[in-house]
Amino acid sequence: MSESNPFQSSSTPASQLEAPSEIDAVLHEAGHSLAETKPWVRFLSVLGFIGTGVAATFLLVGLLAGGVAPSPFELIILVPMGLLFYLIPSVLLWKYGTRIGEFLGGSSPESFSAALIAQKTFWKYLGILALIIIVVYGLMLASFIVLPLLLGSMR
Amino acid sequence: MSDLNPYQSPSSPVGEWKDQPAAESAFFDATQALAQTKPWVRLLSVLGFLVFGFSVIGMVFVLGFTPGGPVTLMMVVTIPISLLFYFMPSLLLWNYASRIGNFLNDRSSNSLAAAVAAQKSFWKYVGILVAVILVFYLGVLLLGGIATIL
Repeated sequence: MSESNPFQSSSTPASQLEAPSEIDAVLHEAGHSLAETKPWVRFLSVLGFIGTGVAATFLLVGLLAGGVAPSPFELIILVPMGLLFYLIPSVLLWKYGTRIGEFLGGSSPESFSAALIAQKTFWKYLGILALIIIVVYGLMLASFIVLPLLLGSMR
Repeated sequence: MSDLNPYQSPSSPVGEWKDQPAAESAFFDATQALAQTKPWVRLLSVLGFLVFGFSVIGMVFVLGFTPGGPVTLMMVVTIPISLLFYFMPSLLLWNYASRIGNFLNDRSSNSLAAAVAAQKSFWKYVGILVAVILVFYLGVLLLGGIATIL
């Protein structure tokens, strides 16, 4: 007697299996790139955290030792600059690395979008920071050129 | 008569995936995120090119006044450093913005993958550069320590 089961659902040979959908193909290919991106993003964010920590330690040691302690004015400048230039970009990069990790764990379109949104936030932050720096430099330059001219004309 | 078609499917504010409605809805947020990333990446790459240009012009200007000697040596050191630190990252960022632009124009899966690959190239380059700098600093510290002991 034949072992074939007439009630068995028709099976598909491997060669005739449905090709992965366009979405899966995109996620697969982008997943490779994001997997290679993650270690570098993590590495740079950890370095940023270390840089922030080292700077904060030097500042604290300076304050406690008293000898080379920065003035309150220097503190007003140094602490926000450390936060703006090191800590916040590092946190945003860390989040990007985390979102990539979540995407690599599940490979869903939602987690892929979340990773791209995280990197958008990082670039937007850096872009706005760069614009603010340009404006501050512009104002400083203008004050160095315009103010002496104004003062000179008033004499 | 109005051109408005009430039976038309809702379209994405940043364009449509060609003949791929499923992909369009799946990657709607990703497409928007990339569209919003592009201007910032372009801005930062242009700023990087400007800094590189200014550093080269500055060096040429200084060399014009004092040809030969330590300035030429400084130029030999500064220009490759500017290339590594400003020009190359700016070029990679420019490529990333261009790949995003290509994707926003043609909405194909290949161009989306190319955009993601372009940002990977940037991060890999920056990561390797920073690792090399760290190794260099550690080497200098080590050599300095050995020289002090000896």
